[in-house]
Amino acid sequence: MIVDELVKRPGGWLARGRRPAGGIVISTRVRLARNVKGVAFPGWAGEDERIRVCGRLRRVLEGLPGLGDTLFADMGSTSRVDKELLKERHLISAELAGKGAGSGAVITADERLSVMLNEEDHLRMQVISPGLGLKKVWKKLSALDVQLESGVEYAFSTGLGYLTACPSNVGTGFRASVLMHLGALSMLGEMEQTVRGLEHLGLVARGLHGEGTEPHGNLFQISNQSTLGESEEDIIERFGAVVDQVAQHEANARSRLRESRMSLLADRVGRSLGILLHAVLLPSGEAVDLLSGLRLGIEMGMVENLRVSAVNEIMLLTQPAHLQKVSGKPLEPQERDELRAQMVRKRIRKVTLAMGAR
Amino acid sequence: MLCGICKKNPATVHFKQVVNGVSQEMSICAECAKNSGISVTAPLGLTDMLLGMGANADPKAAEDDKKACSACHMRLGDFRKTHRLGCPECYEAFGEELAPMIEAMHRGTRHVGKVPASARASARVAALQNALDKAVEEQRFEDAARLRDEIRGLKDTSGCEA
Repeated sequence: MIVDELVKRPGGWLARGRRPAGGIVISTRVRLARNVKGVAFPGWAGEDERIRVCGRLRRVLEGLPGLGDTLFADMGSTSRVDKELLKERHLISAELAGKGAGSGAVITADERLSVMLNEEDHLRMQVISPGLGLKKVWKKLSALDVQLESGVEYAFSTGLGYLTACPSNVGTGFRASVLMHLGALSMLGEMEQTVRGLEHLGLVARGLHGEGTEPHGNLFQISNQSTLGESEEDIIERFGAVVDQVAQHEANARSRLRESRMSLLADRVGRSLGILLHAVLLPSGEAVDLLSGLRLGIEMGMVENLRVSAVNEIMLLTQPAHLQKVSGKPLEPQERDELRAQMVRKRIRKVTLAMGAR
Repeated sequence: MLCGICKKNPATVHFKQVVNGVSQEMSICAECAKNSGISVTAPLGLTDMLLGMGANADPKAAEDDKKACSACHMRLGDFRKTHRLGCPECYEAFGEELAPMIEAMHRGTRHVGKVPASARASARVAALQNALDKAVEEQRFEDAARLRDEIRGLKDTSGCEA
């Protein structure tokens, strides 16, 4: 499998999934940080050691039964645009993309599972799936973790658990996160309050591409912070309960919009569709924001002839690296905006506003 | 208000972060912010602040350079700069300095949850070995023989050494 094959298809975790409940939770992701006993962490190890460890872990992973066809992206030889593409698909992190020889990622063909080698830790493994389903993704990830134990002895201490390069991940090394579309809460100006509430509960809300990114398109990635003193199941339980509450909060906000601010809502949806249908140059930030309006419209039954999965697909395929791969050459920002507008138009040309949404 | 680090200059940079429902605040002066590598236009979390605190305080830096991990040779001063440990053994070497950070970052201070099979087996072997020693001491030889066999069985299956 090569990176080029990924470009034309929707990410395994975005499209084709069951229709997530209410569309509020777009995807669920869990990750584990693990390190090899007696080996320096990637940030401190020399290049030779990193290359050796990376090669060894790659062989162990590729030898596991059940992973099927996998792609190995070697950060030393993967082109910049391919790294960017993998990042846009949430298969690798910005930190990994910034690394060279001795770091890489093993990715399964369905893109649901990926393992980064020598990112901040020796192993960062994740399972991602559409909709909400923390227990299911955790079961899959935990099984991979157990399988890996046959080939790797983990750095572990009875008191502190799994030892990680940064003390903020020590213990379970476990992080659960969900990507949520909180369009109504944002429209009603209640997001700041919500984010503060989450922080009080020891959770953190970030933008679509994780740490240090601004939330675009009312998409928020919510995850747990603490990894020590609480089992994975307890984290899932507590975290899952909060996610349900936030989703409920958003659902209530949508009802309130419909009942008392219908013209505001209809204006937002209508403008989003109008601009997306007729724009000639469409910068990525604006596109994501407008797609959020369209998504809200679909989920509230105000838009016809378009599915949420199609919006997800448009969002994924119109990101900068995806556009460059499709056109097969580097593009200037304006060329990208033009191509993006064309692609969006092509995919939504039959979309109309439902009766009563005007 | 005076700077929380140097306690000399007036504090002009304010941090606030909520960890596990506990709000932590810190106010420092522009100079200490600069010395800690904090740019006011790109604020960072209090966690990074805690990790980086005193990185350039001179008297401490000399001490930090002496204390090192015997396995990977990372010095405490290196950790204060990079905010990342050198190897798993560093948790032992810098245990004293790490304890308050870990306490501030997490809900608990002891691991609860998944344990690798090898650690599970060696913990079980250690517990059985204790029971065996006690049985021998108390001359309960039948118990001792049973425990010895059980330990042997575990070592054979897990492949771990004594």
